[in-house]
Amino acid sequence: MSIPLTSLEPGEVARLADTRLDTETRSLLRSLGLTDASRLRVCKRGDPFIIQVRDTRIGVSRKVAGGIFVVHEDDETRRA
Amino acid sequence: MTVPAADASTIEHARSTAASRIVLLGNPNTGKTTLFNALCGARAKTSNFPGTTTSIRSGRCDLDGVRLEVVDLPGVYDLRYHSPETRIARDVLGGALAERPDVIVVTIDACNLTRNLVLVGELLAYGQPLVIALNMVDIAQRRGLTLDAGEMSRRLGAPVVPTVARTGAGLDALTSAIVAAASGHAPVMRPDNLPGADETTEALTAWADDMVAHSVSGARYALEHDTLTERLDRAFTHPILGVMVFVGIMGGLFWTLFTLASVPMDLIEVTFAGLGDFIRAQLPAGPVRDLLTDGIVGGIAGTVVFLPQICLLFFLISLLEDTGYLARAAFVMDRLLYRFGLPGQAFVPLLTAHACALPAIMSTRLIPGRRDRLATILIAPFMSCSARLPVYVLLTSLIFADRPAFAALAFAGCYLLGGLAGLFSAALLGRTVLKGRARPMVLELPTYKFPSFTNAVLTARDQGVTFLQTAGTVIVAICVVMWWLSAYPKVAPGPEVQALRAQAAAPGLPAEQVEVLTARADTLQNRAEQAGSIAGRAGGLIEPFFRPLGFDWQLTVGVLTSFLAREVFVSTMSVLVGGGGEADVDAGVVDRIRTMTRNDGTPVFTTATSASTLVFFVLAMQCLPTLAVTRKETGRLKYALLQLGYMSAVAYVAALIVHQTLRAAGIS
Repeated sequence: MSIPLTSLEPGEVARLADTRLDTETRSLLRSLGLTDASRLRVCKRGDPFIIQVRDTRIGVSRKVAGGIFVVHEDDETRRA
Repeated sequence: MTVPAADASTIEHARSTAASRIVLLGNPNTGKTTLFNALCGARAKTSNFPGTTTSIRSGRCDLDGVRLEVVDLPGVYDLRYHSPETRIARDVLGGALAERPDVIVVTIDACNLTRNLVLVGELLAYGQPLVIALNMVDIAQRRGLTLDAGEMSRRLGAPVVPTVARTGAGLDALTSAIVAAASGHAPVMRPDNLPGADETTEALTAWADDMVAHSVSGARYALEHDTLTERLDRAFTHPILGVMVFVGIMGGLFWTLFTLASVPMDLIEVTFAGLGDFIRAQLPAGPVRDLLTDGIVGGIAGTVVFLPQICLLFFLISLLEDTGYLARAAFVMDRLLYRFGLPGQAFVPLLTAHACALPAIMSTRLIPGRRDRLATILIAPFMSCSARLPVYVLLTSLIFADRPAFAALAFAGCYLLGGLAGLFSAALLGRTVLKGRARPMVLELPTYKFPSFTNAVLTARDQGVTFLQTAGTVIVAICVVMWWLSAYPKVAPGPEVQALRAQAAAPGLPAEQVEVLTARADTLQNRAEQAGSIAGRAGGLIEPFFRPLGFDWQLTVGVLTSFLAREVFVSTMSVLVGGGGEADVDAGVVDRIRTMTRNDGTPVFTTATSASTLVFFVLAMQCLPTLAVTRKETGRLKYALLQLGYMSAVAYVAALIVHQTLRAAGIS
């Protein structure tokens, strides 16, 4: 069950499930390390929304954060 | 660490061949520029990549007697993303710069290996000799990571050299590896498990993860958080606190800029004035002397005087950028700018535009997305650049003669008016010519670091050189042409002037009276020359168009000449009232200009006219070099013409409204 990134609290870890973003933005995020199914951690909510992917901290505007959908890590393991 | 030793024979081989071409690549924020500066230092030069306006730095260095030509490419995250920087990187790798590079040196951040190794994987696919600088190993060690460069090197099939570019550690080993690779003795191997060029970024990332798993031990991928960084981020991007910090830092930046730059600027003005006087004393009066002193020396002085501000601004911006703060500031500004259809990244160019629009427009390449870049370029000249400063000083002190507090307020109001005009114009552009909204912000937030003084000095120097190359020649040419237009055709002294001079030549007059008579004759002659010159006649012809703004023919001449470069306004007006054409606004010039009269004897600078002129100068596009750079950066003449037409129209209408309103209110 994918949920919006914006519903996570700071410190929560999740896995990227889906994006509803324009291709340019999606491709920039991918270049920054947010590849499909990558793990991310929420550092800060609001605008900018700050996430950490591996060792990269990425700031995104509220609008972009709203287009990112994730699954909780435990959901992932349960399905597997 | 397995660096193939550069033995005597390989060095001999490299020495016998021409300079080897080295290309530096790497993700942004990996210390690549620091590495380049350590290799080439002050001998580097900046030039535009052929056919683009993206500047690349190149330099030479001699290592163990081997000559290397090093090109520093703009930072890229990978080679797939569509941006001007990645296109350039791909072009260079494909041989766009005359020949393909001999060795690619890729700088990778030891603290962020997976993402950096994705780029390495892409580069390995090119099959060219690769040397990997594993940078910032000191920070990685402090974080408890153990990096096995030898294992990494074996798996990648390319030398991996641990470095700390900031301190110079590991540079010797790196240069040996580069020399060995350049000599062609190190075999180029492609790792067996490397995904093909057509594979996804996800496949490359999995490969990079595997590489990291085999060569790094310690705390990896716990997504551990850095409490200090997170606290600072929260403060700097906070809706209220973040704005306060931003205003504080930018206020400090501008205060430093204007305080420190004024010293060398005064020095430059005094030096060139002295040079002009010296030439005047050496040469006989005539057109050659006038051309040299008023045209060429004046033109060069008018260009060089902006150099301190531009260099200092870039020095300060480079320091700020190095600390990592600018990325946070971009988000603070994004909340404001996004409403006007501009991206947060536009704030650096708009900040720069307060010194000069030229480097501002050149720095818009930081902005991803052509629409956003165009919008920023088109509105950047609305910001009050330093060339407007003397005009603001002159006109505000004309309006508020004995009320310096009001003059200061009006002065600040000019900056505000320019900024607001820019923002609202961006919003208008977004609804008309450049349909659409700004791209939503996505930005890496680099780790906070102590800034590099050397990098800042070299950036300031590079930007100064670029400014002189781009603007210098154009501004000098304009000044020469302007001087010619306002000095020719020569006008013979009229009967009134001749009578005054005859009176002054009469024997037995006291010296003071001779001086007064001669000065009056000079003023009359100057006015007659101005009116009779090509510029003066054009002013007379176009005057009816500017009359609703309260301009007379002299003011029209001043405004017309300033369409090429607005800073000449003060000197033109000064010439018209019989001064020596000083560009400096001192009390004498202000008083003389205040007493300027129209042909009917009434003062030129009434309050209403001064105010409308001031508004006109805040908003008008009066800078030929900016138009040239806009054309070059956008690649289309139509954008330069749009900028000129739109800003002129806005300036005219606003000045008209100001003048008519003030007159209707009984202020004249």
